[in-house]
Amino acid sequence: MSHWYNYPFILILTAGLFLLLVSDSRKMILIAFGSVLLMAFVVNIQFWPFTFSLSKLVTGTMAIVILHFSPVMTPSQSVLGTGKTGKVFRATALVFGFVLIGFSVSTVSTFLSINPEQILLSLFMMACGFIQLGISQNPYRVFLGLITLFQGFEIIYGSLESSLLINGMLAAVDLLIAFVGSYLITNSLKDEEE
Amino acid sequence: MSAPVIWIIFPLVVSAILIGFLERPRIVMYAGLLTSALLAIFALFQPIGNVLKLGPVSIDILSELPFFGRAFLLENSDRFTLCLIFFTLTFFIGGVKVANLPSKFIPLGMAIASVMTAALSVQPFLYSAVFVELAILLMIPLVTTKGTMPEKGVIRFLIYLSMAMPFILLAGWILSGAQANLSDETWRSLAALFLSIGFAQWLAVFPFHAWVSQFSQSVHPYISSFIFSLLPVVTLLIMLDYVSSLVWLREAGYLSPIIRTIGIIMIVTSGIWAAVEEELKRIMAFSVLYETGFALLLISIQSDVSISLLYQSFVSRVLGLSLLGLSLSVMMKHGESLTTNAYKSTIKRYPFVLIGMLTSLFGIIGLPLFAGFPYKFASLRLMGENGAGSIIWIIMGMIGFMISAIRIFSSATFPSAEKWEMHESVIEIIFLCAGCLILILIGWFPQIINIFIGSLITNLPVLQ
Repeated sequence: MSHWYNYPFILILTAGLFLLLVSDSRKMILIAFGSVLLMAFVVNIQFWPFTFSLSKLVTGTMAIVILHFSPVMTPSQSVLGTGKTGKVFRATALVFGFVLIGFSVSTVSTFLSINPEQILLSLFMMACGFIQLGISQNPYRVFLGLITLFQGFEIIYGSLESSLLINGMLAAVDLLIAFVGSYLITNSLKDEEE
Repeated sequence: MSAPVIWIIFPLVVSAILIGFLERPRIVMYAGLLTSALLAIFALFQPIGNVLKLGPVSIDILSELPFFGRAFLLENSDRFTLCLIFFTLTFFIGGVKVANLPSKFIPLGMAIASVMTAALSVQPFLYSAVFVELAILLMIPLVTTKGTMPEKGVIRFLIYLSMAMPFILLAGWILSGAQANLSDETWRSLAALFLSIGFAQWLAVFPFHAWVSQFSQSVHPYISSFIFSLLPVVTLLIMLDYVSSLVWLREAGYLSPIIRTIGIIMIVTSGIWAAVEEELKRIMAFSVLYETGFALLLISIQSDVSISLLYQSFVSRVLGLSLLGLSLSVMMKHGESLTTNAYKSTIKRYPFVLIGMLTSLFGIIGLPLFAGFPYKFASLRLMGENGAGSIIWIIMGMIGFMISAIRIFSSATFPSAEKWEMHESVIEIIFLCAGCLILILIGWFPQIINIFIGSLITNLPVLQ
């Protein structure tokens, strides 16, 4: 608990992840993901150089904005549907994931020699990404899940590996995921509009 | 000039330029074909590290290209792989018109080949996962069709293969530390676990295999055969790099039995699935798993001979898959359903397609006098030295595939009152016959491969 002041930020990030998973509105998803990235930036900046943290924030923001401006697909839903039951299930799955992470965070932190706050952020984001990938068939949700998963992974990997090439390539991967997702959604709707 | 500039940056630049010419498919086709063929021929004849003399101009072909503190390294030992990647690209670009594919296949195919080459050449090799991920993302626009929602198979393909990257990167990070501290068993076990999960996802090893048949079913057969020709081969080579470079992993007692068991499971299960499968596209997917199973068996033997055989087997594997993909594409182009039931009596309408399909399947199975026979036979012989038990399982897998090929044959030759009326065009017949001829020639005279690539095989990066 050396950096106790980070926990409110982690709490906001957690709320953002819940919103990301539960909401069906694109606008809410954008706001939720933006808040997640901002909170991750606020925590990361204490342990990483400013430019490095900023590059992660900018990459993540660009990726979500690119994906956000792809046309809305109908129907936009997970395999569980958009009903209340589906939302409750998604939220419960995330809670279970967070509880599991909560129990293992100190072990992982000691093992990887990374501070627990970053581990917590990273694993929370990865869990949210995994759940999105596991229950969604909608391309928008799948690409959002992939971006969330990779953003989470990059917090751990960025603490371990400082190579410019690899971190640059990971940023390129994030952006390419967003571009491909946007292309895929746009491409699948083009003819319908024509 | 350095080799990575020639085989990575140049095709990438050409592919970017060709994207601007998509409205002119003929230009894209000829430019793509010329570029890929030139790169393949250049890899075949030009030793890396030597000076290339073009009249008064001398160009020193360096092997390394420094890049943001890391490097791309292509040496003479990589020329076989370069040849394989760019010849594969040439074959597939050559068949684009016959398979009736959009011209976007050409620039995207070139970009994928270039990024795959980057994955194989990046130093330290632990970072190759990021480049493979980039290649996978480039494959997505290739496999989607305008105006249709991406199917489940494509989404699964993306998810399964993307999930491998974090595992491989983390394993790479652990390994870079564990190399300095060899005594730490926990780290090594963790690295081995991450590596095995990552490679299992890339190679579609059981239980991560479900996406292969779904993907194959969702995608045009020519495109899926292109992806299945490049992706598993490159990931197998990356895997070989890992096994070869990490002394503790190479010498670990558990490595060989685990890889052998996985290989056998893949052969047996894919054989059984193929035997009962109706959908021809899915049979192609199972043939990929079957070939990967054999490749894993050869890696598990861990000898110079087996690794040399593995590299040579890639040639027949790529040719067999491309012919199978082309045969299915021709059927699809003519609006035929790709199931064994709908395939009834098709010999009277598509005799060359049937010949192409059976030649490639027989080659993949490893029947005598077909392309895959020398490598399958040698694998069985090498496996036999370790005991007969595994041979019986492998033969079961082979029988499964044989049943599948016989079912296709019996369905296609089902008696009917229909008259003989060939639906294939001349160009399709030429391409199919050329494919069959090459595969049969490789089966009859396996030394042909050595004539062309003998000098490259002597330089292979075998297990040290």
